[in-house]
Amino acid sequence: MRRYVLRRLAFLVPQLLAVILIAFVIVQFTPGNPARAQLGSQAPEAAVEALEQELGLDRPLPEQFVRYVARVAQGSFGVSWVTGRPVAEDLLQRAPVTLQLITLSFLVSLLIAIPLGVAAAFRGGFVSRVADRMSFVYGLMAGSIPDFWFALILVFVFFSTLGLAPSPIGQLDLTIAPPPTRTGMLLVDSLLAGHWEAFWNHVGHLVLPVATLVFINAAPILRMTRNNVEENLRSEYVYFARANGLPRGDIVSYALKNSLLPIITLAGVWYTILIAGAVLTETIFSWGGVGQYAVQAVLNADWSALQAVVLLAAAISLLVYLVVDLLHAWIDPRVRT
Amino acid sequence: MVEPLTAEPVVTPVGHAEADATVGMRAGVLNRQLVLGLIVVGFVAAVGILAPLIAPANPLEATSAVLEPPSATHWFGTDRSGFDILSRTMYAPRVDLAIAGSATVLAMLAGVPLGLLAGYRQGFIAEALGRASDIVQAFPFFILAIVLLGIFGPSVRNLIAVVAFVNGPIYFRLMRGQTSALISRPYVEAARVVGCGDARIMLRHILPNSLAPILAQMSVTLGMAVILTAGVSFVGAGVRPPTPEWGVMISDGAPGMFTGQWWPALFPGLSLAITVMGFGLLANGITQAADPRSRRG
Amino acid sequence: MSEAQNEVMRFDRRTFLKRGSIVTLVGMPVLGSLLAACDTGASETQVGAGETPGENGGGTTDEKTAIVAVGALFASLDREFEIGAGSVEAMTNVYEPITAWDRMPFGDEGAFVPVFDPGSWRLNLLAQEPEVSDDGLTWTLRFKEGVMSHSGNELTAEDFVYCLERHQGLWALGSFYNFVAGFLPREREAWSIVDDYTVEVTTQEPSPLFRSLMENNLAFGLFDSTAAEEHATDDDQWSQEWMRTDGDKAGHGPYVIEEHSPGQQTVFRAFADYHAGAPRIDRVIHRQVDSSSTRAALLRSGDIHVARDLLPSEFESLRDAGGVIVDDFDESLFLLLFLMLNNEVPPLDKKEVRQALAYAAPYSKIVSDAYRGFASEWRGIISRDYPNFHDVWPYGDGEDFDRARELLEQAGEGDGFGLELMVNAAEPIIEQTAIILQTAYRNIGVDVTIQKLAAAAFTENLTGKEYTAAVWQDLALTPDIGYACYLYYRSTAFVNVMNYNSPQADAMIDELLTTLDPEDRDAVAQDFQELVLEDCPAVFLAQPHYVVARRDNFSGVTAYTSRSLRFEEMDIT
Repeated sequence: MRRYVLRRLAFLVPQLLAVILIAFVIVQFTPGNPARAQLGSQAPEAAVEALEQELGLDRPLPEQFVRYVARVAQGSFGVSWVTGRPVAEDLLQRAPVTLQLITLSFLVSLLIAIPLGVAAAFRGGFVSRVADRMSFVYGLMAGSIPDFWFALILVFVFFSTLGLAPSPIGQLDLTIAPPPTRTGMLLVDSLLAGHWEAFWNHVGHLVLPVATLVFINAAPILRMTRNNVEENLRSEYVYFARANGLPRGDIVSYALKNSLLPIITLAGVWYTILIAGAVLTETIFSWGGVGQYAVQAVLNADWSALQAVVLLAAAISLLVYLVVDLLHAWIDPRVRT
Repeated sequence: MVEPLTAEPVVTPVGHAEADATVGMRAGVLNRQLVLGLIVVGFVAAVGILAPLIAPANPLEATSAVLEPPSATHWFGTDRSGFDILSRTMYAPRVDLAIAGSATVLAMLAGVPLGLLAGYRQGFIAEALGRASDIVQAFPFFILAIVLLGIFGPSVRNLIAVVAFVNGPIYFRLMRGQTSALISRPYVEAARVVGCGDARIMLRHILPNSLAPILAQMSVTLGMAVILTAGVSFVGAGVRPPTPEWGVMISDGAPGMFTGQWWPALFPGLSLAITVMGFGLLANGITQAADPRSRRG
Repeated sequence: MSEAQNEVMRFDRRTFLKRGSIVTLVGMPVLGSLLAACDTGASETQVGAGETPGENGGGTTDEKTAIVAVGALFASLDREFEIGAGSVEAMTNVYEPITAWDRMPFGDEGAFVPVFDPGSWRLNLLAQEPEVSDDGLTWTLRFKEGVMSHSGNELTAEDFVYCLERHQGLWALGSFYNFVAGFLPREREAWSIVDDYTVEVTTQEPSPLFRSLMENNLAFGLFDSTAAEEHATDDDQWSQEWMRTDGDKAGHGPYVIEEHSPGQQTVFRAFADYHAGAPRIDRVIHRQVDSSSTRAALLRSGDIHVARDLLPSEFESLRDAGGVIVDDFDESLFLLLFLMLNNEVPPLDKKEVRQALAYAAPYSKIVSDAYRGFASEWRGIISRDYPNFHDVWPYGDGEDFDRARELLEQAGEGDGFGLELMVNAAEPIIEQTAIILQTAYRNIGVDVTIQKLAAAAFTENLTGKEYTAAVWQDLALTPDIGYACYLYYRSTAFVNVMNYNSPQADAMIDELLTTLDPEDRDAVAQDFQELVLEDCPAVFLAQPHYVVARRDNFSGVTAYTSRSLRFEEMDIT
C-alpha cells in the first residue's frame, strides 16, 4: 500500500508543475498587452511601461515562469482588471459559493439516485420494474438535455409563468440584508447569525439551480448504482454466501459494499466535473460563483483571473483524482499491483 | 454541463468469464435501442442535409416579424431578428453535426493509435502518455474550451480543434484499456507464437476486437460534442452569429424566457436534446449488440 | 413469508428511511420557496417613500433611499482617464460642474430634457456671469464663496488652476480638452489668479465653445486641490492612485461615496453641506446587475427604482407593467449609431463604395425592427438636436439598391466583396442591427460576416483602428458643432476611428473652433456637413433614444448627454 501511495504522490508534483506551466503558457498566447489591458486604452504610454516593468513582462520567459510559480506559491494571482481587486480575493469570495451549490446538489443527487438505483437493481416486483423503466428514460434524458437549456425552462415555468420561484438574480433578494460573512456560504452564515429571513429567502433561491444540477447529474450515479448492485447480487460470491445460508442482511451488505467502490470513483469524478459543470447554471442564475467568474473572465479578456481559475480547477481535480485512487487502492487490494 | 466521460464499459461481471467485444454486428443483433438511435440520428442528419430544399424560409433573412409566437406561417415562431425559427432549427444540424463529427473523428485519429501503442508496449512512454492525458483531463473541459477559444478566436476550425482536443484523452484511455485487456488473450499469444509481427497483431487482432466499444464511445462523443458546441456558443465564445446553430439560438432566446417568449429557446433546445438522445440510444445499442448479456443503458 | 419477500421488505425499510430524509430535504426548499413567494408578494409595495429596503446596517426608517441598477459600478473616479458609463455616473454626483444645463420638462410625469442652447445655462459654482474681454480671449470667472468640499475645504480659484494644471500634467483627456478649449500648447500657462475666488483664463484663439465646455464636468471638473495634494507622492505627483479610489473626497458634489463593494454595490450618501442645500434623497445605491432581463424583472417587482440599458422588448413589456413609467426621450437627442468604416482598408478607401453602402443601408428597418421605435432616423453627421445642425442629407431613405450597385460598378467593385463587421458582444441591439445590415447588403453583393468581440477587445480594435467595419454607438458630450466635429472628423482626433483624412475638413474644423460670430460659424457648419456627407467616411445609421424605466413614484430624471442621473434632482414620493 505504501509503495503505491508513494508512487502516486511522486507523480503529483510534476503533474502540478505541468498544470501551472500550461496555465502560464496559455496566457502567453492571449492577444494584447496585459499591462495595457489592466490600465485601459486611454492610459499614457509611460504608465503602461511602468506597469510592464512591475509585472516583469520585459524579462525572458523562463524567468517570468519562475517568478509566476513563486507568486502562486505565495497565493498571489495578480489583479483582475474587471473588478479591480486581487484575483485571490475574488476567488476567496466566490469559491465557497460554488462549493455550497455543488455540494448541496451532489448530496441531493446521491440521496435520490442511490435508493432509486438500488430499487431498480432488483428484478421482479412491480416497484422495481417501474423504477427500472423510469431510470432508463431519465438517464437518457439527463445525458442529452443541456443544463443551460434546462435551467432556462425551469425559470420560464416556475418564475415567468407560475411566479412560484423568486427572481433568478442571485443568492438573495436584493432587499434582504445578507448575514455577516463567516464561511462565505450563505446557508451556514445565515444559520450561524440566526438570520431566518435571509436563510429561507436563500433556500428559495437555491431551489431552481439545485434542481437543474441534480436533474443533470443524478443520472450517471443512478445508472452506476443500478448496474453495480445488480452485478453484485448476481455474482458468484453472493451465490456462494446464499448457498452457505448467510443471513439476508449480511449478504445484502456485502453486495452493497462491493457496489460502492465504483461509486466512489464516480463520485470523485463527478465532483470535479461539477466544478466546471455548474458554470452555465451559475451564469443563468447570476449566482456569483467561480464558474460565472470564469465565463466573465473569458468574455472580458481578464487573463489574470482566467489563469488563476484554470490553474486552481485543474489542481483540485488532480488532487481529487489522487484521493479517489488512494481510496480505491485502500478498499480494493488488487489495484495496488 | 455534465456528460458521461465514457460509454458504459464492456461489463465484466465479477466471477464470470470475461466477454469479448466481437467484431461487427451479426445478423439478428439489431436491438431496439440501436434501431431507434439510428432512426433519430438519421432523421436529424437528413433534415440537416435536405434543409435548403425543405426549409420554409431563408434562415439568414432578417424580417420585420420580430418575436412572433408560433403560427400557421411560422410554425416555431420568429426570434428577435425576425428569423423563422423552424428554418433555423432545420439548418442547425449542418453546423452542429459537422463540427461534432469532425471533432470526433479527429479525437479518434489522435487517441486510438496512441492508446493502442501505450497499451501494447507498456513502458515509460505509456506511463508518460497516461499522465499527460490525466493532465489534459484535469482541466475542467468546458472552461478549457472557452479559454482556448477566447485565445485563438471563435472560428469553426478552432471549435473543432478544441472539442477534439478535449475528447482525445478519452479515446486514448479507452484504447489503452482495451489493448491491455486483450493482450493476454489466447489468440494473441497464439499469433505471437506463430511469428506475427507487432503491427500485424495490433491491426488484425486487437483493433478489430475493440471496434464495438470504440463505436459506442464515438456515438457518445458525438452527443457530447454537440452539447459542448452549443454550450460554448451559448456563452458567446463559439459559432458566430447569425449562423443557425442550436446553442446560439438558445442564447438569443434566453432573455425571452424571462419575459414570457418561450419559443425562441425551446425548439432549438428540444432538437438538441432529441439529437443527443439519439446518439445515446445508438451507443447503448452498439454496446448491447456487441454483448447481448450486457445490461442495457 | 418467502425469502424474496423478506429481502424486498428489509430493503423497503432501509430505502424508506432514505426516502424519508429525501422528503425532508426536498420539502424544505419547497416550503422555502413558498415562503419566498410570499415575501416577494409583500415587497411589491416595498420601495416607497420613507422606507428603507433594509440594506447593510441601513439608515433610520425616515431616510429616503433610492436603488439604481447598473450594468457596472465605477472603475475609477479619476476624470483624466476614465470614461466608462458606471464611472461617469458616480463622477457626475460626487463632482460639481462649474455651470449646468437648463432643463425643460419632457412629458408631464416628472422627466426632463436638457436645453442645448448655449445661451441658456445655470450658474452653479459661479457667483455671477463670466466676463469676456472684447477680443474674446480672456474670461474672468468668479466663484461662489462658501462652497465646501467633502473634505471640508472651501472652494477657491486655486482649485480651478489645479484642475487645469493636472490636465496639462497628465495630458490624457486633458490633451483633448485643452485643444478644444483653445489653450494649446501644453506648456502654456493660460491662467492667472486675481484673488481667492477669481481667476482669469486666456485662450490662444477665440473660443466659441468655452461657455459650453464649462458645463462639461470632464473638461473643467474641479478638485479640492488641498485634499488632493495631501495624497501626492514623489512618484505620483497628481495623486492618481488616491483619485482613482477616493477621488470623491476631493469633490464638491451633492453626494459622497459611503461604501463600495466591487461587483456588488456602491452606496452614495447625501452631502449635508452641499452648496445648493442638502439633497432630498439621503442615500442612493448603485446596484450591479449584469443582465438586462434581471434589471427589468427587479424594476417590475419594485425592488429597484430605475433601470436603463434594457432591450427594446423589455422596455415594451415594462410599458404595460403597473407602477412603471418608461421615459422614451425622443427630444434633445444625442446618441449616435455609426457604421464605422476604416477608410484605409480597401475597398472602403474608395468614396463610391462608401456611398454605395450609405444608399443601400436600411435606415427605417433599423429604427423599427432593431430598436422597435426607440430610435429616430439620423440623416446627418452630428445630432439633429445640436445647434448648427443642417438637414443636407443626400442619401434619401436608404435601401436604394439600384443606385448602390451603380456606384459599386463605377468603383470597379461590381462583383461585390466581403466585409468583416465588428460588433460589441455586450450590446445585443447592435448585433441585431448588424444582422439587418447583413441582409440588406446581400442585395448589392456585399457579403457581411459578423464578428462579435468582448467589450474590451472591441474597444481596443476600434481605437487601434484594427478593423474593417464596426457598428458603434457613441455620443458627443458637449452640444457644440466644433466639439462634435472635432471629435470624429478631424484627422488628428483620437476618436477618428475611420481614418478620415481631409485637409479641407480639418481647416473647417479649426475655423469652427475659433469663429465667434454665430452667423459665420453657421455658414461654415453647413459647408462642413455637406462636405463630410459627400465624403461619406462612415454610414450614419440612426439616433437611438436614451430610455429610462422607473417606478412611478420616482421623478426628476433628466436625459443628460452623459447618460447619468443627477441624484440631487430626484425625488421619491
